[in-house]
Parts: sequence; C-alpha cells; structure tokens
Amino acid sequence: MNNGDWDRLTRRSFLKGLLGTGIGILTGSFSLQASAVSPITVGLQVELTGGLSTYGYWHLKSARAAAKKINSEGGIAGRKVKLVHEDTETDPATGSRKMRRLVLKRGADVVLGSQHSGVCLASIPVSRRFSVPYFPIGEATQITGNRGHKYVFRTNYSVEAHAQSGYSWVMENLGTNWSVIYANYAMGQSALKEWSSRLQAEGGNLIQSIAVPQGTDDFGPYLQKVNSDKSDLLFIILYGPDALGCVRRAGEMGLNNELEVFGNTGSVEALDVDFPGAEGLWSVTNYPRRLEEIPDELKSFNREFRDKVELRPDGSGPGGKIVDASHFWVPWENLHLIKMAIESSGWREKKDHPRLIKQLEGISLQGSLEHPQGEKYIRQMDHQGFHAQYIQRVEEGVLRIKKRLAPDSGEYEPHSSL
Amino acid sequence: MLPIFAGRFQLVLFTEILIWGTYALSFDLVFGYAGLLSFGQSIFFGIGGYSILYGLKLGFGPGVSLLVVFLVACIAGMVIGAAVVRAEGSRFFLITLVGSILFYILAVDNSWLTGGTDGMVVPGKFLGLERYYYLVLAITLVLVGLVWLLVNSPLGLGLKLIRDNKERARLLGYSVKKFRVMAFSIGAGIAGLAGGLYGYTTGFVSAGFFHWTKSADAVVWTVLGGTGTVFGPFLGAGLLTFVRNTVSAMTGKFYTATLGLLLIATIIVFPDGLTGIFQKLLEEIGGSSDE
Amino acid sequence: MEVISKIAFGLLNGAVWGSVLALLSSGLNVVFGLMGAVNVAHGSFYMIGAFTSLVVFEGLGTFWPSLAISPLVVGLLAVLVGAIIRPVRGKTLVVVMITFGAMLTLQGSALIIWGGRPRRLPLPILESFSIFGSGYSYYRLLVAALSGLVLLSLWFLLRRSSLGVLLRAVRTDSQLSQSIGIPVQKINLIGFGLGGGLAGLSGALIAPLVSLTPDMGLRIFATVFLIVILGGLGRIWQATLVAFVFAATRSLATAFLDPTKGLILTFFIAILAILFGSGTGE
Repeated sequence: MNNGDWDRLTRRSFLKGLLGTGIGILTGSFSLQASAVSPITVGLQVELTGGLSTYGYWHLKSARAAAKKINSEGGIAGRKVKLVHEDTETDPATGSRKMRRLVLKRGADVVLGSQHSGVCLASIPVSRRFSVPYFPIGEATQITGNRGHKYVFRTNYSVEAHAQSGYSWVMENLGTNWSVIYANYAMGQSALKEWSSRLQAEGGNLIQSIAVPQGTDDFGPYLQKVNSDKSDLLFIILYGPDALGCVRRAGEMGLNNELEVFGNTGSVEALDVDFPGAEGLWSVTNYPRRLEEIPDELKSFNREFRDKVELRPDGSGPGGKIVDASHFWVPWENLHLIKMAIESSGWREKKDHPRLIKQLEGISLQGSLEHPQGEKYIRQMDHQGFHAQYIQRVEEGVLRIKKRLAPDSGEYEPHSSL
Repeated sequence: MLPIFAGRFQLVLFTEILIWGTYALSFDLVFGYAGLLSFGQSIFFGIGGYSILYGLKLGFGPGVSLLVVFLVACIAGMVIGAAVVRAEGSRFFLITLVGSILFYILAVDNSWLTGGTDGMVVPGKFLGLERYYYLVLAITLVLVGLVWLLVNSPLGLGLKLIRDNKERARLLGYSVKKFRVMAFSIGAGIAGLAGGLYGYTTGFVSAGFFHWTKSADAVVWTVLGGTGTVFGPFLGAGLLTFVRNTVSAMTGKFYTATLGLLLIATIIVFPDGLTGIFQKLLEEIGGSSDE
Repeated sequence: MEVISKIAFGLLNGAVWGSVLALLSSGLNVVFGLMGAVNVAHGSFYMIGAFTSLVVFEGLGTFWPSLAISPLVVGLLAVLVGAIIRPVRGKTLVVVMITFGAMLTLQGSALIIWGGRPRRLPLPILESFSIFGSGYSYYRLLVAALSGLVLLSLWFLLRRSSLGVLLRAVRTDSQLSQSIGIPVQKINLIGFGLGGGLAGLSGALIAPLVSLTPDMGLRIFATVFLIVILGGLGRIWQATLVAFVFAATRSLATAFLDPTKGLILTFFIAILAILFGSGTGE
C-alpha cells in the first residue's frame, strides 16, 4: 500500500469513528449504567396478531420482564440488553420477513423465536444465512431434526419429546385402544405419527385416526366416526380453539361419558377450561397453570417469577387473559441462558458465535428464579432441550397436576448430528 | 435501480420490490391488456416457486431451473387458460378465485410434495444479497422490455381490441380464445417466474405461495399503480411493499384494511391509478407551457 | 354408531348447516338480482354479524338480543356498500373490485379490532337431547327452526307483499320501473339492506357454534358462491334447495368417507358448474 491508501484508510476510519461517536452521543447509547460499550440486541419474534396472539402477549411480557431484571442487575457482561420485537402475525411468510427485518434492519445479535412452527421453519434458513443464533419455541420435531442447524437451539420440548415422555403413562392409565382425531397438516400428522408409533410398538391398538381439515367448524361428522365400543381413549391432536371446539362438541354428544379424552399440548393452553364438556379432560403441559400445583422445591422461585410477569396464582393475568403455561416461560429462561452463555464463553461480537454455540451445547441447568420451569439440559447432538413434563386433568373447572415426568423420559433418537 | 446501497435490509427490500412488481405485471397483462379479471395469479406464483425447488433438487443449475420455471408456468397457464377463458367477467373472476383456494388446499394437504404450510428449503449455496439483487434486476428489465414490446405488437393491439370490443374483434377475424389463452399463459409464466425468483432468493417455498391473499395483492397493487400500463404494477407493488416493510404501523394488522380502503378509493377517485395521476400532472406541466 | 344413526345424525346436521347456508345464499341472490353483480363482501357481512353477536354477548351478558341487532347492523352496513356501488351499477368488473375492496376493509378492520385470535361464544342453550345414541344441542334445532321461519317470511315478502312486487319489478327491468315512477334507487338500497340483513342474521345464528376469526367470511364465501351458481344466479329458491342438499351431502360424506377428498371434489364440481352452468352470467 502506498501513502495515499493509508491516508484514505485512516481518514475514513477516523470519520467513521467520529460519526459513530456522534450517533452514539445522540442516541444516548453512551450511558453510565450498564454499558460503556454497545448494547446486546436481542430480537424477539412474537405472535401479536392472528391465531396465536394470546401466546405472543405472554412471550413479549416474559421477555421484557427478563430484560428488565437483567439490566437492573448490570446487564450481560456489563452491556445493556436491548430487546426488539416484531409481530409474525401468526403467518410463516410474514414471520420470515420479520426475521429478516430483525436481523438486517434492527441489528439483532441473537433472536428468540416464534411459537408457530411454520414461522420457525421459514426463519431457520434466515438464521443460517446470516449466522444468527436462533431459539425457536415452535414444537415441530424437524426444527431440531432435519431442518435444524448449529445456530438453532430449542430449550423446550419437541412434539416427539412429548410423545416419548408421555405415551407409557397414557397407555398405563387411560387405555391402550386409541381413537385419534387430528389436524390434517404437518404438526398434527407428525404428532399422530410420534404418539401412535410408540403405542403400537408397545402392543397398543390405534383403532382409528380421523383427519380433520384445517378450518373445520363442524366437528360433529368427525366425532361421529369415533368407535366408542372398541376404544378406551379419544386422543385429540388439534390446536387452540379447534381443540376446545372439538372437546365441547364431544361433550355435547356425550362422548366424554363413554371414553377418556386426552389432548396434547396446545389443546388447553391459554384457554378457559371451565365448561361442562371439559370436565375430566386429560392433557400434557410443560408447566402447571396454577401456582399451587407447582412442585414445592420450585414454588418460591415461581412466586417471584410470576410476580414479575404479572401472572396470578390461578394462571390468569391482566384483563383475565389466561397464560399459555407450556411456553410463556421460555423467553425468560432463554434470555438468562444467553446471559450465562455469553458471560462464560467471553462472547463479544458476531465472530465469537462459535464460542457461544459451544457453551450452549450440552448445557445443564437447575431450577431457579432464572429457570423457574425447573431442571433441564440441552443435548449436544441436536441442540434439543429436555425438561420435566406434567400430566394434568380438568377437575371441577380447574387444571390439576396428576403426574410429573422426568426430563430424561423425553429423550428420543436424535434426527441430526450437529 | 441504484446498485449502491447503505445496507443489507435495503438490498432485500429492493429485490422484493422488483419481484412483486414483476408479479403484479403478470396480473396487469391478463387484466389490464386482455381484460380478464384473474384472481388466480397466486396459482402460478406457487407453481413457479415449487418448480425452482424441484429443478434445483434434480440438479439443474439456477439458470436452467429459472427457464424451466417459466416454461412450466406457461404451460400450466395454457392448460388452465384453455379451459377457463370462455367465461366472462365475474364468472372468470370467480373461477380463478375458487381455483386459487383449491390449489392452496391441495398444496396444504399434500405436504409430501409441498411441505404444506411448513414448506421446504430451496437447496443451493447462499450467493449473497447483492448477486440476488442483480439477478432479479436483470430478469425484471428483460421481462419489462419484452412485455412492452408485446403490448405494442400486433398481439398486444389485438388483445386491446378484444378487451374493448369483443364482437368487433370477432368480426375482424380475431380468434378471441387464442389471444386470451396466449395472454393468460404469458401472464402465468411471468407470475411463475416471480414465484421462482422469490423462492430462490429467500431460500424457502411453502404452500403459502398459493394463498388467495397473494392473488389479492397482485390485483390491488396493479389497480393502485395503474392498470393497462407497464410501470403501474411496479409503482403499486413498490409503494406498498416499501410501506409494509418500513412503516412500523403498517407492518402489522393495519395492512389488510388499508389495502381495502386504497382499492376502493383508487377505483372511485383515481381509476387510472398512480400512473394516471402522474400523467395528469405531466399534462398540467406540459399544458401550462403551451399556453 | 350404527349406519342408520349415522345417516339420521348426518341429515339433522345437514339441516342445521343447510338452513344457515340457505339464508346466506338467499341474501346473495337478492343482491345479485338487483345489482346484476356479485357482492364479494357478502361473506364479510356474515363475519360482522357473528362478531356483532360477540360484542352483544360481552356487553350485555346475553346472546339473544344479537339475533335482532346483528341483522340491523349488517343491514345498514350493506346499505352503505350499496350506496357506494350505485353509481357504477352496470359495470360488473368495477362492482366486483369495489366489493372486493370492501371485503378486505371489513376483514382488515375485524383484525384490527379483535386481533385475529379465534373467539368463542358459549352455547346459549346448554341442554342437549339424546337422539340416535348421541347428544345434540337444543340450540342447533333452534337455528334450523329460526332459519326456516325467516326463509318462509322471505318468501311471503317477495311473493305476497307490495315491497316484494317492487323488488321484483326493479330486478326484472329497472329502466321500465323507473319510468313508471318506482323509486329505483331506494328499492335497490332496501334490497341491499335485506341481503345484508340475511347475512348478518346467519352470522349471529352460527356464532355460538364455531370459532370466530376475521377470515371466516371468506371461508364460507366460497361455499355460498358454489351453492348460488349451482342453483342459478339470482334464483333464490333453487339455491335454497341446493343449500340443503349440499349441507346434507357434506355431512354424510364426512361421516362415511375421507373429508378432504370430498372438499376437493366439491370445488372441482364448483368450477365445472361455473363454467358450464346456466343462469345469468354477466
């Protein structure tokens, strides 16, 4: 390089530095509190409108509460946490567009993901393309399977983990002859496969599987097909209000008097279970909705955690909104997980991502205020998390926990090797 | 069309604007020039998206795959067009709308082929946002050029005649059906190419490509920009895509309602769309200097 | 369930859904007959009717008043849309575009107001009766009965009342009607209001039975159009018959066969019907 180039270089970087400082002063990122350096930007994909908007409400709340707590305690490695969020509108195309926006426009260093599996699957290529650590919450097994990659970490259960953990209990306690009614698209089909393959491997009988197209309003004709003579259990794999609509119609038709009824996750989340047809409904959950059902050793952490997130002991929040117990804790825990991983690995900027990833792989956590859902670990091979799961039942209009299943009960054969 | 950008986000945004403009152009060709109110452009957008997926999966290079995309979509357009162009006005609209819904359902239900709403990842190395931008820019310019030539050619003139006065065209010896099918299939090809480009540059295709709201977008953008023009679709698509991605209030739930109101307002107040407004402005300026 | 029970249940179910579809298709046909063009926003009227019931329920604590309020609200809304369309009545494509814009606006507004999360109303009558070995809610029976009553009233209105005569006159030949002193503009708007009111009522009736989303209108729109085309555009009573047959067939087909294939088959038939069907096209 000749002198001219050097001059140009130093001049340019000087100007850049001046500009940067100027902007920094103007935007106030030079504050005395938790950062003398730039903040760490955490992106958040949330469903604020559309079918899963009740989930998004809680996820945003829980993420904000975590960021507030972390910043008041000095931030992450002395740097402030800046939380930026985008609404996925519960739509995969919009969700992946928002992911690009978070990464390219809003400068997210890491992204906490969406509840919607379609959004997650559409966003994973973006996370890979721009090398951004991504923490999706959606349950589709492929997220940490054949569609995953090393920048993707999921701390909560996949559909297969739920099945692996829960199927023996269901077979022992509710029956081995199942009639399954399921949503006829990817999620429903995969849940059907995961649960019924295990049922059949243990000698149980899949009496029938009834596919329900998306957008069905009238469950009557589908429920008519249920063979209540041969079956012990009506297994419902539907999501949100569809699940409850189906349960209501089943109650109306008197099916819940003839069979046990079991719904997988998503069947009661964020929904009111206090109506006649719901009585006796079984389901799985990652976290008890009501404080009194939480295991004693975790109660004190959860009192404090729920207080910070404005969640009442009965599982409702501001405006009577009911919490999506299975997943609302994930952003809170993930933010604390990221903090811990950044501080232990010495991560400073994008090029340090491999260090961050190494730190996260195989990590093991205990129940605490930072991890109120309880002990968990992330499997190194596929970046899938394992934690406790609970069987619950609707009794007298409220959800009661009937059984806790240990974290390793959900372990299944990994579908990828990262 | 500026090649120098401040950031990656703007690159992605402009690439998208070009793709959506092309997509809207496909609708304009079918409606603005041929007079067929097609609510089914999303059908071909989806076909295009999945064609590039499978083209690349089968091992063809991007160039060949994009060509295949155009051809496949064109042929699909020819087949579907031959069956439906006989329908008039609102019937045609209805068939294409129902068809669009039907294709979406088919795509969702056959997730072995399409991945359903979860979609499938498009194979291939990420070549960088700039390369994608230049690719899309090049293709768009070529397409716009071709369409411009087309609408000013005998074919284009024939289409306009058929659109404005079908009986007279028939008397003059034009085969209404042939011209319409041709227009519809070229429109299908362009919509398919837009779909293929979108799938290729984002690396992802899903059943959502077929959703009727995508057909609606093409309609509204074109009407807003000005039907029967080559640049109108780009104006409309560009404006709305830009607003949707940058104005935070518009990125969310206000988009659909705003779209609806814009459509009504445009039809009632500015039937010629934005290009109409520009033209009027130009006339004013030009006119005043005459005086 | 035995075969007989299944068939009986299917027919009963079909009667309930068929009656709602009949209300909707009648409303659409009334408007088509007057405007000569298809109202794409008809499904959105139904959706607004359903959400109005939600508002009434949440506001007043009871569902029943909405059976009067929803038709009124939606009827007025329809008159508004009718007024906007009036100047361009003859131009089919323009009408289609405007009503499409209205549909987007209504759907978008519902999204803004209610957020897109599916809503549910509790059944206004909790009791069920037992039939053919299965439970069936009394409310569903009420829906069928009420719809039947309204359809009957509609028949009387159109065939026997003076308003009916005027409506039919305007439909048949609006220019002639105008020349003999019939206030065509007013009649058109009344017709629109009537069509909208029918849509609003069906939305209210259905509300406790389904989950309410902003796009529920479009989903039922496709079905209603199919019915209207199969019956012949503008032919109210043929469409009513088709509505019942369609609903019963769908119910039975779902109970006995694979539903998705049935749905796709239905759409194919729809397209064939539109292509080759009779009834006024333009």
